[in-house]
Amino acid sequence: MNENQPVLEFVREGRASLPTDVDARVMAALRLRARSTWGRERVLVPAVLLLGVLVLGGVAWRQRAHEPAASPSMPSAPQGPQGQGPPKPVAPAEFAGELFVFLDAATTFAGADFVAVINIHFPSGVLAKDGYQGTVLRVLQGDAALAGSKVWLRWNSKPPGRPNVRSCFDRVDLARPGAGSHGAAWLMALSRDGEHDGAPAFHSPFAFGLPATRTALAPPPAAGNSVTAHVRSELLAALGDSDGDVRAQSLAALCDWDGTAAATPGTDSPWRDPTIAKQMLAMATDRDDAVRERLGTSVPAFLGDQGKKVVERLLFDRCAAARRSALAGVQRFGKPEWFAELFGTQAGLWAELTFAPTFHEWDWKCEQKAQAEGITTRLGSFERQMRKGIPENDLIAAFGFRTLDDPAATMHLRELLTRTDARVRAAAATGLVQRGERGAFDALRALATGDDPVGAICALDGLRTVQRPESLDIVVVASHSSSPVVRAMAAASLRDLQGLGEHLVAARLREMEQDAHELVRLAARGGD
Amino acid sequence: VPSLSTRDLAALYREHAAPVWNAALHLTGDPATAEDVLHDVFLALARGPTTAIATPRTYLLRAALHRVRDLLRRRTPTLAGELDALLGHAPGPELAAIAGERASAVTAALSTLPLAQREVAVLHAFEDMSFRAIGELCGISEDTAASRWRYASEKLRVRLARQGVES
Repeated sequence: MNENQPVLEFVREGRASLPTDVDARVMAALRLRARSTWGRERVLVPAVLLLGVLVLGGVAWRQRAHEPAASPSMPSAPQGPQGQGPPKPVAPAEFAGELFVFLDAATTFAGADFVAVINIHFPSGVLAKDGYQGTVLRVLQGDAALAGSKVWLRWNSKPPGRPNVRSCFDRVDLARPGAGSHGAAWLMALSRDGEHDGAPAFHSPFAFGLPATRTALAPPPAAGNSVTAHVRSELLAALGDSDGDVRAQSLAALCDWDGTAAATPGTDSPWRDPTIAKQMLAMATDRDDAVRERLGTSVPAFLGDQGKKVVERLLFDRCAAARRSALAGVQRFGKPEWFAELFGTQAGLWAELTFAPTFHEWDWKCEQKAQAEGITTRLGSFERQMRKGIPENDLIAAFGFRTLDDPAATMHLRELLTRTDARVRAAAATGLVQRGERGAFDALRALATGDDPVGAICALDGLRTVQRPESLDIVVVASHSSSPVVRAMAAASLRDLQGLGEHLVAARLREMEQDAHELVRLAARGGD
Repeated sequence: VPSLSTRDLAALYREHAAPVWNAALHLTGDPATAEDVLHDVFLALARGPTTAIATPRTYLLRAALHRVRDLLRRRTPTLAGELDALLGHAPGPELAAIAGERASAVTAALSTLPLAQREVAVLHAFEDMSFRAIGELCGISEDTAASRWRYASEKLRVRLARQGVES
């Protein structure tokens, strides 16, 4: 017997059979190629792709990108409601012109020129840390010959070194010689449950650009379009996803996309189903700030009273960014009389710093500036901000120090308590009470019951997060403020603190339901 | 060279996709890359064969071989990959899940060979090709193919003996 025979047998026993999912994907690509080459009408049914992910690629231009909530940068000083959204911002001079913009493909790919539905080869198609591969399943607009082409989806991991900042897919490269980046993209992507662990952020951040792509600019896909129906059903299912970003982005996508269809007379939209509106109302109390923030800007006007109820509930949200987005949303249902008063108290930079995604961006920017001067620690980065002596920089520093478990940070917070800007004092005092310095409640009390409504609201925001008897005492006093906006926010804060005194809170809220001002009554009823 | 009809293409795919994927898998050691190879080979065929197809299996295997060489040449070496190769680490659990334990073990063993020897081993073992045929496919002489197999099988035999497979 040949001495190499056992080796031969060993190797032969390792023959692997072609996995069915690989077979299905390659066959799908061949079918599409055949269709584009020979004009055969063959439609691939996405359901057969057991491990597939559907990506609807698209030109992403959205009005939201230009709305205040999407590119936040607001002044702290009250302004009139002449604008269409919350006021324009005063950012620290150091950051002028580089205010944070979400890393959304909508912005990245404005002006892209084709829309594709891409079947991602996944997870076996994971090529590297920065990319996924796929096959263009169907070209909705643009070069039809792209069907069947292979693409790489490039993972935009910027900003570098900031794992806490969500990234997105930002480029689709065609795997064709000389094709390069097509500068195009997608409308949405959804992974199936089984694949979720492999790419937890896969379909959330970059569904950001979904809706108003060509789908909104051009007539919506015809009813019965299997791809459209599939995408929509996936989006609806994603509203119950465990990932807050997924819920938020899917919601935004649905609202913009289906909202276009629903607003068009004669179209059949699932939004006409009353259960969807109820689902949105439930999302107004979602545990994730990002979902509520997104909800405010997404609720379509055609939802009528249901939609109005959603944004009114968000107007008193514990997250300032959600309140600000609700302020933009409420205008779609007409501008109520109290709008101007509420509008004037929305401190833009405060909203950004209290909202985790935007705070991380500021944090990162501060760090970049500091590193340019050889400062390598976060403490040093925020100290640098504090040294500028400008209220907005102080505010950033205060929020930064709140995140640091460092005695020096506590010392700086004490120093910031002496600043003249009410927002800075509120942020610093909240940070100190969160560290157990009960003396800082005095500062919060002075702010919450003072004459400056912006300072009072900032202080109330802080008190809502500190479950201590002192918090409840201060909020009860603030609920008698002469400012209806402060009374309304105090009512909302009382709800958050009701565990500290149920009877007291219930009695006070009942009184406030009889308040002379509609805004206060609304807040006391919990936005209902 | 005339293009293939859809029917012919489908027939070729049905008959040869599995062996092409198997060869690509054992040459690259990576199911995702093997899928790439399969995809590219048949998509290129759909666009139109570059030469006349005398023997479809040989044509497709040659195309797969060229594609594998291209891909491996372009692959950026990583420290982790080099260490794996150095230590003879088995491919990850993903491969075992997709292709089976035995295939995974064989792939691990083959991955310790240089590509030139791996090509000969794969074609000889899985396709039962003679050294003359392998030589024609790979563009080498029959003797070279035979000697590459000899080197490859010797290395594999040592490896298997070390793992107790032979005994």
